[in-house]
Amino acid sequence: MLFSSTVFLFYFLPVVLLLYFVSPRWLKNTILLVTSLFFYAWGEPRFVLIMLASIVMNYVFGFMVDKYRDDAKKIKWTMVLMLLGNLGMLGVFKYASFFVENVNSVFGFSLNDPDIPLPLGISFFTFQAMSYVIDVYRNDGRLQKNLFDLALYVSFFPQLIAGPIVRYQTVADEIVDRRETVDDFVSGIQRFVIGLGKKMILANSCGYVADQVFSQSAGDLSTTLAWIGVIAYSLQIYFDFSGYSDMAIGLGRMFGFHFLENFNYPYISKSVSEFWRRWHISLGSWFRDYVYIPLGGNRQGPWKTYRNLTIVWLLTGVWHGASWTFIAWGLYYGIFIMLERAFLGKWLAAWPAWLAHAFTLFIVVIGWVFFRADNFTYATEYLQVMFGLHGGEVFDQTAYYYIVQYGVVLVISMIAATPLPKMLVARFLRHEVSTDRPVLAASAGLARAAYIMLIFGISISYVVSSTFNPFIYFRF
Amino acid sequence: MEQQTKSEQVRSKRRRLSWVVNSILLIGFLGTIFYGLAVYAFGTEQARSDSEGRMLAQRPDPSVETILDGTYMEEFEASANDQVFERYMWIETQAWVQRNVLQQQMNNGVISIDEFLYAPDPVASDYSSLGVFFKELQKEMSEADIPSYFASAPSKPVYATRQGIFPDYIESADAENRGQLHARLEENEIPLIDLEETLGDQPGKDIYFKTDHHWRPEGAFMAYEQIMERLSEQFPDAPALSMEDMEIKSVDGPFYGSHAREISMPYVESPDQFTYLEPKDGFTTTVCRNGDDCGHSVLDTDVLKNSTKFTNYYNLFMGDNYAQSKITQNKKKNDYHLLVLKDSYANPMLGYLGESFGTVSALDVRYFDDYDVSIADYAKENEVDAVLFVHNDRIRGLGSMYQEGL
Repeated sequence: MLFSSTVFLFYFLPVVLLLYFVSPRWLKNTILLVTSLFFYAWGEPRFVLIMLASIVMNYVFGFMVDKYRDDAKKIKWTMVLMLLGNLGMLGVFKYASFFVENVNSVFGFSLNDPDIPLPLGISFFTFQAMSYVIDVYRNDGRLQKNLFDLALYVSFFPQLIAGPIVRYQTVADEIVDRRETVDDFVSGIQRFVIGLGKKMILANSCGYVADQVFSQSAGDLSTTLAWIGVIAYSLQIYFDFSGYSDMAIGLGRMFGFHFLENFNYPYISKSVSEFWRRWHISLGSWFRDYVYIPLGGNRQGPWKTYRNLTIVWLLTGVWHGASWTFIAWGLYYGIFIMLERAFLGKWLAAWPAWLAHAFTLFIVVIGWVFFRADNFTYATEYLQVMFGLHGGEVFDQTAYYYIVQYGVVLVISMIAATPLPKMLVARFLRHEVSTDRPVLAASAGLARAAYIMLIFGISISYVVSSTFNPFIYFRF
Repeated sequence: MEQQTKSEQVRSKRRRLSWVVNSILLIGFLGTIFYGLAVYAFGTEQARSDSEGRMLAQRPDPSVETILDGTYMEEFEASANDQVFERYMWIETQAWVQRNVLQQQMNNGVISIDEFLYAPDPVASDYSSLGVFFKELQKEMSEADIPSYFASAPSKPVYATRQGIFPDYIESADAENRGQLHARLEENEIPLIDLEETLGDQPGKDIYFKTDHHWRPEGAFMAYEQIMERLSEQFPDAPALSMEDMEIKSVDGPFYGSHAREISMPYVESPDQFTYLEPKDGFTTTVCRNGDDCGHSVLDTDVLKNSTKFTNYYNLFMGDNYAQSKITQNKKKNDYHLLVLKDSYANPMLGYLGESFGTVSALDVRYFDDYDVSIADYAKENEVDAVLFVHNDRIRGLGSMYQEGL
């Protein structure tokens, strides 16, 4: 079930809110757990069992690490088993086909593709579950003795499908003791609506352009169209993902949970390292705290630092998908981050801000080509077209069409990807707390409410119109 | 003391303002989602969407089997989408934002230019599949000594291309596709009746609906006159109607055609006035549909009853499309039997042809699933005198259907 669907907006969400807020305190977590399992089962009934298996397995590992914490040998084996269990599950469901395909290709075998369907959100809930066991081991979070509360942490529907990856220590206290307030609830509404607007109005419009361009053979594209396609995709993936995170954070807040931020205007970064501190923050910090630092981080000399970075960025690529293009994409960032550590970072810091910013955007946009392309051949051809190395046209009628038809939404999206709109809104809304100008304060407050409701209405119109399906049989 | 009181007043004002703003957001957000829930749970389900021209999905009944295999959820989502409250208002709102805020000129493949709506086709086609069919048809018809003709009407986008109506950024392969269609006809020696010769110089408003993809009945009548002139060599005793014989009638109320439904209302500048032609003495034919459903008229006036905003008045002609229709003159003026292979473009013309030929059969391959019929067998068994295709040039999807239907 997607947040941006009529089923979620008009059926699931109101029912959950009603059940939750009329229930006594002792029943609230149960309500959230049952509805979260229902939410997951809606799209993938049979995969609920896999998520439950993951929950029970990590519940047991939690007890084991708590018990064997002081026994070096046992705790080591417990952690190894925990990693094998979680990564094994992820490996089977997400990477088995990729593994078989490559073994067949390299060794000339003809092993059958297991063709195992991918359970929704498995990368997210597996990382969350691992975070629980590791946090308990490190004493960053206390042991959760109540299986249902742990199940709620892993399966809580706002962050279940697409994150953010909520660390156990972030919500450990709120799972057992939290307060829902009107201010939090209203702030949750605002955040949810902004996220819905990002997804429906901006991401989907940009996504349409990107899909149209990337569905064509690279050789058929003009240089301008190829750039339009990848810029549209860069905007789509940002608004899609950050919009979903906003919705998750907003929904969490409605129920009294406070998740950490997952995006912070990544496209204004002036270096690749900064980009990754602003993009999918929960994943970056997960790898930093659970992989990079345990490997030694940057404390064991430059070569081990580069080794650790290589491992982290290889895993980052692998986490995103079972494909060599994702792995290449991860390593691509790893290389730039190592270069920045070696010397590029100093250069970028010395460059004028606009140049460092342009350079970073350029690197990021090129990286999205690998992320979006189905295979290396297409990615390479696409890049050739972008740089005019294909011998084709620089500009064509199709590019002209996309500029006229989608130019405004692309420009709006570019502006919205910067903090500028937020700064302008904040500047206006500060009058809301004005002490000496009550009329202005009231206007600002009402304008905020009107703005949110306007975005909500437009977003719903986009949700509903995406189901518009005029049956005109044939166009004769 | 005075300072403290003032500060307390300020805090109190802030609290009140915050309360008002929070209340608006809570009522607006919760009111909307709970209203949506209430309408779905307790409201009456809508059966049909006139704007989309289709039946709407209904709430499914759950069963263990459908829940486990996920079909219940799929059907529930489909019904939730279709039955959402004020569905068309939301769709129009989105279109309004798209047009007026995001400045998007096209919606669902349709563009609005000077009150006319067009759906240019950017995909080029060589009509090879139709070429195969033409070859096979010619072979069959030659054996039975039945001549074939192809009356080719220019589609609206072809007309717009020729007239230079489309802006530069619009990609339309329609004119090129029309050339390809005619090339396939020429290769297979099927005589072409190029209706563009008659219609190409006419003002667009006289031959096409503004909001529909079809031609107007007046345009169809001009095409009929050209066809009759051409067929008069083979059918000298077939009387041809002239415009003086006809009376133009209008339907009360606006007509929003297929393109208006596709692009949605914020893009529609003005509706059409739906008109139809009828001989001054009335039509003198009877229609049978799909074999034995007889007693119908070429003008199905039932369509005019209980009309709504999006009633498709074009169904007035022949009462919609049927796999097989047979128009028989009540008092036969001749024994000619013309077989028309057609799509909906031909519907207004069938009534006119019916006044000229003793019998006119019409086959529409798009609906052959509803009625088991073969084009070649039908032509031979009914001893038709000629086969006449009446199409516009947007028929690249018909090749395989025609091959199967032969």
